Amino acid sequence: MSGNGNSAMLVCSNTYEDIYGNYQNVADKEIVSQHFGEFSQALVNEISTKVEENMLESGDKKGTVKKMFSVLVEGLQNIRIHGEKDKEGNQTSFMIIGRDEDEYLVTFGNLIKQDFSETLDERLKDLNDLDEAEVKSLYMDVLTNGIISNKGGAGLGFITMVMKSKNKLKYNVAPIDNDLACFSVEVKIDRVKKKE
Amino acid sequence: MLEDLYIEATKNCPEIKSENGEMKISGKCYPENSRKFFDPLLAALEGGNGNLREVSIQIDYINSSSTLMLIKLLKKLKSNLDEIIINWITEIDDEEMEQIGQEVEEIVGHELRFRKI
Repeated sequence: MSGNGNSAMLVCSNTYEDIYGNYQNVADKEIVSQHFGEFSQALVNEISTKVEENMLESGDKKGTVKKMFSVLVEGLQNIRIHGEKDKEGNQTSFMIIGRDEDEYLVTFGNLIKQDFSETLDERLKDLNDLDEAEVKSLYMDVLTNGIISNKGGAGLGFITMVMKSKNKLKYNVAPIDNDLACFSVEVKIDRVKKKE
Repeated sequence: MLEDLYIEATKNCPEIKSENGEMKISGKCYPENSRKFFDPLLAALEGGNGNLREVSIQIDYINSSSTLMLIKLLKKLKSNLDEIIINWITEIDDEEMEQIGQEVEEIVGHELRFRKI
């Protein structure tokens, strides 16, 4: 395994290119927004606001726009709070939003510790196994008893994504070296348009 | 201090205005570090609610960690004053925020006054 920081960048960038190409050429999606690299807090605010405006202009119903806003903010804040840095100190991560007439697909990617991948996999598998009522009850439980970490997260990001989208999460872990892996997760939001 | 509090809204934090016994929280609420935003408010309520009798919440969007902190804030207000009035104001077609209001109501264990504008 190569020990330089660029291997993390390379694996993430390949994952990003694959997903981008797949959205455009295979899934036949229009790319609404995309970013590869680090996310500043200002960029998170900017992307969320721009996507919101774009969706309202495209005729999406307020409910769909709010669901997207929620998924985006949770996903991007997840990246900033939990994304690992590569050996050069970059919090390499990415986001892509694609859409067609029926749905939006949003993918988030970030670096994780290789030895965390099993725990994360179990956590997401458990979450995907829950039905709608069980997800809601888990969400209510964390809201009732939850505590907020020093970084400000409540551990509600993925739960909120599943609850708002009412869809399962698709995720993947691409190994980089003994230390890091590139984690990506996709959320599908069904599209409801305003009646003309 | 709580009697006439004013915190200006930012891109992702709501405006908070407190005067004549009513506190109004309005705008978007999705700070990355929700504790940084809510902890000072909670600390200010340690010694009681002062003259606060009513809280009006009109939020367009709230992230999950702020929802958790808002619940803590409302629980604190309620434990200081059991008959506190909590208004939950949403736009007419905003089902998402209305639903969050119902969840907050259930967890805080205090009836919210729902209003649509």
